[in-house]
Parts: sequence; structure tokens; C-alpha cells
Amino acid sequence: MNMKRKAGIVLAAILAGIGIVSPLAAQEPIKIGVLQAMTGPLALVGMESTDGFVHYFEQIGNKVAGRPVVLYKEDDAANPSQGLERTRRLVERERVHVLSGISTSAIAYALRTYVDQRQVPLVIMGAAGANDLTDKQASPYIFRTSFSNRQLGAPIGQYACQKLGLKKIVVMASDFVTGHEQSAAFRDQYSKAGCNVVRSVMVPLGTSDFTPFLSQIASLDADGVWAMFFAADAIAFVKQYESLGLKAKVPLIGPSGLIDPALLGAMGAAAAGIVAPIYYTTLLENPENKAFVQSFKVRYGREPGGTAASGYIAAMAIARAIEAIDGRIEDKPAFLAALRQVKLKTPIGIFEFDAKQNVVLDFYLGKVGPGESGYTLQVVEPLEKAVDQYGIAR
Amino acid sequence: MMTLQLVNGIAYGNLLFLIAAGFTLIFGILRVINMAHGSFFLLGAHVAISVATATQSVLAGLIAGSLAAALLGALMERVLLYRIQGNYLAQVIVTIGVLMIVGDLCQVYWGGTPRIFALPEHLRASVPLGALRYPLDRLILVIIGPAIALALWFVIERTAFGAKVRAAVDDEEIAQAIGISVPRLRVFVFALGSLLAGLAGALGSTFIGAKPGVDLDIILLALVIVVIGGPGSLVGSYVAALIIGLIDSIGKSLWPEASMFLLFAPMLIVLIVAPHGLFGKPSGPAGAVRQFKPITISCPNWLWSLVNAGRQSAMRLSWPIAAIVALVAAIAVPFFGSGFSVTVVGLMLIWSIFAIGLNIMLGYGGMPSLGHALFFGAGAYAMAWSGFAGLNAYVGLLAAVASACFAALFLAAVALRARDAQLLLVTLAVAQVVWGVVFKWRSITGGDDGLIHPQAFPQISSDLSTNFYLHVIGAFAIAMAAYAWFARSNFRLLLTGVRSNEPRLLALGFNVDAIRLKAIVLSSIFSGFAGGLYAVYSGFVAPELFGVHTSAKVLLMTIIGMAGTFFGPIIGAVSIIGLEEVFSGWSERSNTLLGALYIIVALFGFGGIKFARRQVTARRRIPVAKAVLP
Amino acid sequence: MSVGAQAAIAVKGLKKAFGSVDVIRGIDISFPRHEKHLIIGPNGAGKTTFFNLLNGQYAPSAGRIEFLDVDVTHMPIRQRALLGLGRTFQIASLFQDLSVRDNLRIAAGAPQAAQRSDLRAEENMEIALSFCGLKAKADGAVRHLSYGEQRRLEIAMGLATAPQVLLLDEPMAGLTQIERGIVAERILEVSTATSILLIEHDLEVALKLADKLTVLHLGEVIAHGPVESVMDDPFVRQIYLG
Repeated sequence: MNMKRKAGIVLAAILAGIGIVSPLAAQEPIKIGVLQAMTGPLALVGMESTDGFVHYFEQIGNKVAGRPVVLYKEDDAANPSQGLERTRRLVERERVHVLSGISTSAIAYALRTYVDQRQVPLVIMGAAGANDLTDKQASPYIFRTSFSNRQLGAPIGQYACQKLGLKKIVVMASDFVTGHEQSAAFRDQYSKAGCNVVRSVMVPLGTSDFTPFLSQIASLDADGVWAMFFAADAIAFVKQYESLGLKAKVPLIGPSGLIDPALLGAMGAAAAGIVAPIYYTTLLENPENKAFVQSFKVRYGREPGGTAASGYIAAMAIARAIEAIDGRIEDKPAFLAALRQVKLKTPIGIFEFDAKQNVVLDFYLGKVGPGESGYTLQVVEPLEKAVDQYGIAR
Repeated sequence: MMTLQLVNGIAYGNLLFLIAAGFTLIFGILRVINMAHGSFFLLGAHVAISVATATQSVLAGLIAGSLAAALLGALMERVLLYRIQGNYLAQVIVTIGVLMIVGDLCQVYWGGTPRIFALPEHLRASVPLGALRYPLDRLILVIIGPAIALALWFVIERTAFGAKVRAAVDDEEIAQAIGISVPRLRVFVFALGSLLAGLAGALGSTFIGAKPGVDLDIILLALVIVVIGGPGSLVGSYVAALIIGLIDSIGKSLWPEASMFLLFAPMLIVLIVAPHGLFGKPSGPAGAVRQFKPITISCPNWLWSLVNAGRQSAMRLSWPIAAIVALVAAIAVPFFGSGFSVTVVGLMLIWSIFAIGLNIMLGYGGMPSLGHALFFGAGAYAMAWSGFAGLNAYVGLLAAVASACFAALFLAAVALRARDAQLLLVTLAVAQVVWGVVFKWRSITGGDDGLIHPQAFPQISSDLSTNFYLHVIGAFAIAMAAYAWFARSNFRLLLTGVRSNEPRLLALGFNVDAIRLKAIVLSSIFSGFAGGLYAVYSGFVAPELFGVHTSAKVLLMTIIGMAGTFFGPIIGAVSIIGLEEVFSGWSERSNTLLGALYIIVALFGFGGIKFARRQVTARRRIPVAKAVLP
Repeated sequence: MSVGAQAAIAVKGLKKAFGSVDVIRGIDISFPRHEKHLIIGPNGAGKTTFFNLLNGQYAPSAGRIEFLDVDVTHMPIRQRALLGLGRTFQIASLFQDLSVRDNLRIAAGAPQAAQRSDLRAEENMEIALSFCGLKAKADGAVRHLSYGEQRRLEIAMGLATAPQVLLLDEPMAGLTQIERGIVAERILEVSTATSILLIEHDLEVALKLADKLTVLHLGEVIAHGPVESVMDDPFVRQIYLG
């Protein structure tokens, strides 16, 4: 009898606890979910963009339009299944208003239907560059402030053929969607300019030993290599490119991911001289960038790279959009409309979205050279302005 | 060009040998499947890089890395594994836990940036080879590898010490009777195996480096080599390592897209043609499950009664009543809980069905499987493709089950005669092969990006979550009915007989192979069904549904819920999913917490830790510390 | 499996060596059907090895084994069981995790039982349960039985399959005097449809059961025939009884 009573009371208490959903006060915080790789092979890249994102909100005191801003960070471990589960948690348990982050295209694709169905605004600031996300599979809820793969691959195509004089290039890329799309974009522009891709080599993601792939190049009579690799693979590739003696013979170029500043420390001298089209470097001469580099250095003890900048800008865009609607982030159509129209002065210059909600970027020719402490990206000259997601300058 | 590939292949092969040798020593001599082997590699690499950078001495780095790994290995054996000697299943789970913890802590301490050691200028030499140059620090592996191989062979086969080791393995009691300290020997062998892994990590730090995820890569490589060469055989490891090194190097240059497949295909071929590897011997009778000096935690009476009551009631649960209560609770969830809890409970139910499948094979049949994700993945992908084919979701579930059955037949063809530790290894290997194929065959499986598929349950409720949830409950009810039917059947009796006393069954005239086969297929039906449900839940399928982590998770669920009992797998699934939710809310170090959970469950579940009732009259209480040290 | 077969088991030139150790050095013998045969011999004579050869657990080094006139020399254990050969083990080999009833259920449900018995498996199981006198503990786990009870169950397991020939390996080892009496009675009660080969050390009890007696010594048969005449054989008296 006693036990039953106790059980009954406990049960009632539990049900009451679950059942009560008290209407919360009007000053409810704005909740932003950040889904990035915090563990695993892409943790490096994930943390960079998260740092940039968080930094902006810290600078404005974690308050927008009078409402406090709360960030919920979740780890996707660059793993689509985990990414989806954590997203569910962020949307259904924490009830975030906006979702940001996304470290790989695979995760972005995995979330696409969910985000669209549940009407959750998603601002991609990570390396999820898959073309279709803002093209064939676009959704009014999906925005991207980082890049599209075509955008990153295309700009150096013509330049390599005509200005650098590399007429016979070998294309090497990581064998996954980003590698495929970026190399395809490069190839298109390169061939259009009249030059010839001698060989395309797809390398499995996560390769440590590039020797079997690199050894082919010597026998191919090529005068240049364009290589798309990411994070840990990029570090290993660049180092082995040099230690096998290729660097001395065949110039190496690539998209910006190959020489992301976060990697230059580990690459060392092996990276010197590599050129790539970049949209960001700490040496960009505008007041917003100078301030950003300075404050980032003070806060984190290192210089920001393009990934961190993308995060910072994403935060900026979200904050401005919320301000534009006086903090009523619950009004989704208004928020989306405001976000679409955002036009800002940012560390990468003027920021705006194109018609399908992908960022428009200015590109410069970057080259790795010695800097104050180690190696940095130096700007050689401007490449193309206002490049949209199709890789075409407006 | 070919010369470079050959040289590279041989150098890489020698490095692989170091990794595999450690693993095979530990398996061959101690019968432990050390899933944390890659962690020693990682730790060795990290420590070597740090020390070498600080002291500017490469030699110091190598020594430090090797010793750090050896120390960790010795510690793991002495503190954890020793308590569950002979129980290969518990050992696998404990080592998986260590894998998770070490991987996470390494990232906390050294960060997620991949570290590659930059040799000091004067050592950065390279040798011209063809049109290119080959770095010396990799060429030297061609000398180090054989040197260590010879040293190992000499110690094991030709020294008195090696004889002692072999004797202790053969018959521990007699060995102890003549004065050989078996615990010390075990620690030594473990330390040696770990040292080799750490040394490999240190030597590879100039090109493989230390990065998150490398621990898993390494253990999979070790697995491939050891399966091909024969578990326990040093010669086999050497030969297989060279073969794999050459295949990897030459294969990648000729056919880069197939590299993952090229790694796993030889393993599969060897499994089918020569199940004990090229140089292996059939494993001896499995060691008796011994319980050595468990850690005794004395606990207050009320807690003891509570735990005991819980255990008793779990075993005696009148299942019709329990079923009704559970069903009512499950249906009530959408009304009382938030939308998110519906999702979580749905996930719990799906994993319960998955665990039930494994319980049939492992709990009732005594056939441990570290590759059950094979069925889960098969079911999930079949469901996804049924969506592309425009089929109804219910038909999709049938397809999922059929696909899993097919996978079961495939597994049985390779694994039917394997037992115990060998079976664990084989199931893991087969699941990995399929994972590799799915990973690589982009055109059909979407590769490692996975597949987004349109399959969904027919709308019988307007709300998406509720619709899905109702279907899951229905599916769960069906699964439970089938499970209950199984539990009351004669087949269950026979299956328990297979686990309990196989020779007796044979002597009674039963076809034990047929019973095993049926068990595998029946098990796959449940797990494949769960996979199909999961595919609809996530709208998305990816290769890691076939992966080690999935298999390990369901294995843990089955064990935490007391394998072999009826409700065990359900309790296990609910607990683990529930704990995951709780952990991820607490901290970012959920991997460490989960790893610790794995270890504790394995130790508890197999008598490594025991709750002892506090004696009412006795005053002496054995402090935990004293119970830990022998 | 011919009904008219003369010998339950016939063995010709049977030899078994482990490495360089000859355990069975050549046995030629025939055990007629419908009888209870007692096999005795000092320790190390090779009795259990002999059973293991008959049952299929060991493969012979040389020789031929016939079971009901069928050559089973290279036949696996399971097939011999299907032909009707049953066996109990010296160390009780039961399904420890299952109940007594379930143990017998399995035995009674064995493929070889179904062919021979008119009764359904459940009925056979009940009969076997009464036989070993464990009805009261039928639903308890085997691991809770006493040693003597387990041995009785072991024998019941052997009989539950309704074998044509049953090999009983030291069924009374470790039992108390009273228990031995009970077990002996039970064995006597087994119908002659089942031929029995019995290894036993307790001569006093066993001699009362047996029709024929075989003496093994150092891997060879040194005497074989009706109990009385073998007991009178001087060589046997010297080796075994003297």
C-alpha cells in the first residue's frame, strides 16, 4: 500500500514536470544553434569558423536589438548521421531560431529536407560548398556565407592558362563531392581559356601517403599541378609534394582550401610559393579587416583565416537582419526577407547574397610567402570581383 | 616510376608490420582483441612529436613515444583487462571504451590540428629514385622493420623467456605452479605489443602524423593484416603487411578510386578460402572465463536491496503485464512529452529491435558479433532504395528484412564454423568489407556522402512526428510478438543448448550448423527491420551505419541489459540512448563519458566489479584501493 | 540400421595412438544386441578412449567400426547419433543454464528419437523425467542439482532419445551407496530393445546388471564372454581381482 502510494506521488510529480510548459517571459533570448565539427578529422576547420562566429557576438555583448543572444553548440564530427541527430536536438529540444555552421556538404544535404520542412533558417558558414545547396536544391531557408564549390574552383582557371603560362596541368582532388565540384569548375574555366588538363587524379579522402599518386606526375610531362585538398590531407599533400622533390620541378596551385592560414603553420616552408585565388587574407586593406584581425588575435592568440572570416560574417549578417526587424526573430518571413537584403561592410569587403542566397565574393591572387611569424598569404593582385556562386563575375 | 612505388610499398609495409605485430602478439598470446591498438599509435605519435620538438632530438622522441604507449598498455592490462581475463567479449568492449577516451583526451590536450613532425634540417635527406626523390626517414623503415621482426622472432622462439611466455599461454595453472608469474608476463606482453604500436606511431609521425581519427584507421589496417596473415602469427603479419603495403602503393597509382576496396577484398578472399589466415592455426579451446580479484565495492543495505529487487523483478517480469504497461507508456509519450521526446523514444524503440536481433545471436546462441551493423546497414540501404524505386514503405520494410537475410547468408558462409574470439574478428572483418564497398561504390550507394532518400511512411496522422511514431510503435509491437514467439519456441531451447553445451547436442544427433545458421538469419531479420525503420527516421543513409561504432553500440546495449534475458536488449537500448542524451547535454566530452560507460559496463557485466553486501555484523570493510592492488 | 542386424557394435582391428603413445592396441570384438555388456579394466586400460572411438569423438588410427552392421568408422558424431547411437559422459554433460525439464525436452526432441519412438516427444520427456526421479525439481536449473541428481539426469538424457545402443560411461561414479542401488535398478529396467555398453568400476553392483563381461587391459581385450566364465578366467583374476 505504502509503495503504491509513493509510486503514485512520484508518477504524478513526473507527469506534472513534463506537462508544464509555462509561457515564458517576453525577454526570451534569441537562440542560435551552431553545428560544427568539434571532434574528428575536421575539428580544425570547424573550430575556426565557430571561433569567428562567436567572436562577433561577443563583440556586441551577446545582445541584439535588446534581446540576449544564446549560442548552442553541437558537434557533428563531420558525420551526417550525427549531424542530423544533433540538429533534431537543437531544433526540437532547444528550439533554436536560427541554425548555423555545417562543416561538410554531406551534412548539409542530410539536413536540407529537415530544415526546409521544419522551416528553420539555416546559415551555412562552414565548408559545405556543394553547388546544389543554393542552386538545384535551394530552399528559401538556406543561406550560405562561406562559398560554393564553383566559386572557389573557377577564378584561377583562366589566370593559370594565360597569365601563369601553365599549359598542361594535372588536376588532383579529394574524392568526394567538394573535390569533384571544385575541380570540375577549375577544369571548365581552364579549358575555356584554351589549355589542356593532362590528367585528373581522384585521391581518397583521409589519405596519409600521397606517394603513389605523386609519383605519376613526373612521368606525365605536365608543367603544373592544381590540387584540391582539405585540412589534414592538405598538410600531408603539400609536405610530401616538397619532400619528393616535385616542388622544385612543377609549380603547385590550387583553390584557397589548400593554403588556408590555419594550415600554414604545420606546412612550413613546403607551402612557400603556392598561389591560389583567395577571398580573404589578414593583409586585406580595409578598416573592418584591420579591426577584425586585431581583435581576433587578442582573443584567440592567432590570426584568423578565411574560415574564421566566414563565421564572423555569418554572425554579422544574422545580427543585422535581426536588428532590421527590431528583434522579432519569431517572424520568420520577415527575418528571411531581411537576411536576403543584407548588405554589409565586412573584413572581406562588401558582403551580399546573390539571388539564390549564396554569398558574392571578391577574389585576389594569393601567394604564400614569409611573414612576421612563419608564413602568410600575401596578395599579389586582384583577380575577379563580385564572383557569384556559378563562378562568374557579375 | 615503378621503382618508387615498389620502394614506397615495402617501406609502408614495414611500418604496417610494426602495427600488426603488436596486435597479433597480444591476440595470439593473450587472446585479447585490443581495439585500442590504434590509440597507442596515436599516443606514440603525439608524444614523439612533442618530445622531439622540445629536445630537438629525434631519438628522444622515438623512445618517449614508444615508452608512453608501452606504459599505457601495461596500465590498461593491469588495471582493467586483468579482471576480465579470458573473457574476450568483455575485453573488446573495454578496449573500445579506452579507444574512445584516449582519442578524446588526445584531442583535448593536443588539439584537433593534425601534427606532422618536421625533421631538423640535417636529417632531412632524400635519395634520388627515378625522376623524383624519396625521403630517408621513410626509406629507413625498410631496415627497421626486418630488424625488429628478427628480434621479436628470436625472443619468442629462442630464448628461455619466450618459452616461459608460450608455456604460460598454454596452461596457466601449471605455469604458475612452476614459478612463472603469469600476471607479470601478461603485463610484459601487453607492454611489448603497445610499444610496437607506439614506435610505429613515432616513426610514422613524419608522414601519417598525429590527427583525430587516425586511431580508428590504424586499428582497421591492423585488422586486415592480422586476418590475412593469421591471428597470432608473426610471420603471417610480416608477409601480409608487405602484401598490403605493396597493394596499397601500386594499386593507388594504377587505380586510385578502388583503394579502399583493394584493402578489404584480399581480407574477404582469405576469410573465405583460408579462415585462419595464411599462416594461422585454428585457435585452441577458448580459455575458461575466470574472475580474478574483482574490485569489491561495499554498498549499503538499502542500495543492495534495491539493485537486487530490480534484478529479480527484471528476471521474473510477467511479460504480458510488462508488455501492456510498456505499450501504454509508449503511446502516452506524444501526449505528455515534447516533440523531441517523441523522437528520442522512437529512436529507443528502433535500437531495441536492433538489440533484440543481436541478443538472439549473442545472448541466446552464445555467438558474439562485432559486425551486427552489417544487418542494420543492409536493412537501411534497402529501405532507401525502395524509396527511389517508388515502392510503398511497408514493402520497403520487407525489402529491408530480405536484404538483411541475404547479408546473413553471406556472413554465415564465412563465419559459421568460427567460435568466440575468432567469430568476433570474422564478423568485424565482414562488416568492414561491406562498409568499404559501400563507402567506395558512389554510383550506387552515394559513397561516404550517403544517400538522401524519399521513403516515408504513409500519412495516417497529420503531424509528421506523430505519424512516424505511430508506425514505430506498430513495428515494435510486431517485433515483440515475433520475439515472444521465438522465446517460447523449441528453437530457443536448442539455441540455448548450442551456447550451453554444443558437444552434447551433436551427440544427440542435432545439426548444430543448421541451428547456428537459422539463428544468424533470424537475428538478421530483427536487425534489418530496425535498419529499415531507422532509414525512415533519418531520411538519410550513410556508410557508417555499417561501421564499427554502430556494431559496438548495439553490442554494449545487449550486454548492459544482461545478455540472454528477454527484456535485456530493450533495457539496454533505452539506457544507452537515454544516457547519450544526458551526456551530450552535459559537456562536449561526451566521447570520454561514453567510453567510461563502456568500460564500467563491461567490468560490471562480467564480474570485474562486484557489489558486496555490507555485512551487518562484520566491522572490517575492505577499502577499494586495497582490493585493486593484487 | 537393419532390424535383423546381429551385432549392436562390431569392432575389427581397432587401434588408436596419440602421437607415439598406443592407447588402443588392436581390438576385435562383437557385442550382440539386446544385451547389457559390462566393460571393465584397470585405470589407463583405454575404456573411455574406446567409447570415444565408438561414438565418433576420436578417429581411429586403424581398424573398422560397425554399428548395427553399418560401417561408421569415418562417420561424424552426429550421423552416428542419427543412426541410433546414444552416449552418456563420465563428467555429466548437461545444459547447465536450462531446467531439468528443458534438458530432457531437448533430448526427447532429438532427431534420432523421433524416428524410433511411437510416442510424441513430450511424452518421452515425461517418461524420462520419471525415470530419473527428478519430477519435483523439474523446473529448477540443472546447476542447482546435487552431483548424484545430475548423474541420474545424465542417464535419463541418454535414454530419452530412445537409442538402439547406449554407451554408459561410468554412470555410478561418485554416487552414494543408496544412489548406486537406485541407478542400478533403473538400468535393469531399461527394455532390451536398447542394447547397453557399460563402463563401471563398482563391480559389486555392475556385475548384477550385466549379461556379458569384457575386460580391457593396456588397450587390448583380454577376456570377453558371459559374466561367470570371465570371472573364473585365471588371467583376469590375476590382473584385475588378484
